[in-house]
Amino acid sequence: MGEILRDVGLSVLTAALAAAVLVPTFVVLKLLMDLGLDVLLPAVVALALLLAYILRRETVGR
Amino acid sequence: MAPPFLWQVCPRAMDTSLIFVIFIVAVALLFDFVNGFHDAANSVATIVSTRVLSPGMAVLWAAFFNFVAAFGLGVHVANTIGNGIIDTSVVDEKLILSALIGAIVWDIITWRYGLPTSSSHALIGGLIGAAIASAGMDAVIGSGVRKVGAFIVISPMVGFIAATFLALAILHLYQRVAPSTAQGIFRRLQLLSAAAYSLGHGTNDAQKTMGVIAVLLFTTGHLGGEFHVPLWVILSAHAAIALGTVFGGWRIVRTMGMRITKLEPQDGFAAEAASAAAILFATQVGIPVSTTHTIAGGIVGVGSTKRFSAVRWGVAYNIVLAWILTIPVSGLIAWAAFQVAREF
Repeated sequence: MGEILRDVGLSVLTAALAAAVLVPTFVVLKLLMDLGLDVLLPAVVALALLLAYILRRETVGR
Repeated sequence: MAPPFLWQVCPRAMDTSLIFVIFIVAVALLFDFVNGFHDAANSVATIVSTRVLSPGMAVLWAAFFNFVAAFGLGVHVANTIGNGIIDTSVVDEKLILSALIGAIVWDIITWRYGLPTSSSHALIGGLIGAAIASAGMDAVIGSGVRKVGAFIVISPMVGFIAATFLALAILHLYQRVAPSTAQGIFRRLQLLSAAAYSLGHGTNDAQKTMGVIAVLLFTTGHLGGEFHVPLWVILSAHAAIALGTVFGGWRIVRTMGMRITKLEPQDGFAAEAASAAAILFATQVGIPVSTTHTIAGGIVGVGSTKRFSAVRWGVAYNIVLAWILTIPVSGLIAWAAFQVAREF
């Protein structure tokens, strides 16, 4: 019983976490989109490249 | 006095014209079937590769949600495809048929080589190629093509960013949870994320064919005075894509689910949930994005959080190359098809 409750609790927490990460991401995306493609495209490319650079640096040697 | 319609003078001409329109609608639905067949991999690759569902059950799961997407998610993308890419005044049966031939041929070529390219971009390339062959560059709506072109870059990057954020957050939350417990939870959660992804795929991709059928009916005078997407078009497009998904292409499942990077259930969940959110967002704002590009970006994102070199960048490079070629090559095939169709 305890295990089932723990699994349900973790599942709900994970779904809430997904919403907490994804909703703000897409709110920002919509705001950038409202500013026009000239803003959205470079902003998304710059963030993706920055993220790739950080991941590459932080995961070296794993 | 208004001039008589052609079929009032010659009833057989009406029959021939209507039969040709019905034939093209059938070809459009065939494209949707091929789309479901080609893109089934995207919906089910992660749940198959993480062994959450058997391949048979996974395609049925994806097909069901692809069909359910017909109800209540709007037709913004269909409207963009229908009147936002090429000038509707140049559209006729031959143009639509040539565009569909360009898209179907390119889809079959890339399926043969196991490359997860975008059926959406193949269709857009086909429309552009056939429109140029028919009426020159002026027939292409620059702003619409620019938006679609920008999202070729944006959609995989948004998939990558959102999936990376989510994968990192999950990693943090599950730091002190036993791996076997986490695996059990994510195996169940992946059923939900795969369902959400299939819903997104169904609504964004099926709408592209709806747009093509609607513009064909509109320009041939079978839709009345105002452009809209009839219910029977919505239902048949979703049914065709769901049927195609049932007959899914396993070559691409292998590339998406196993060759880009090795996936665990929590990776599959993060990639699918992030991609589903990205596709549903694009659908609501009426942008025809590539569902394939978005999930590929998501898979690369979750792979990179474990180890940047865990991503097989050679495979990713081949996929990106095929993406770049999609619009020009499908456009070229459609252009050639129109030159042949023009002779009849």
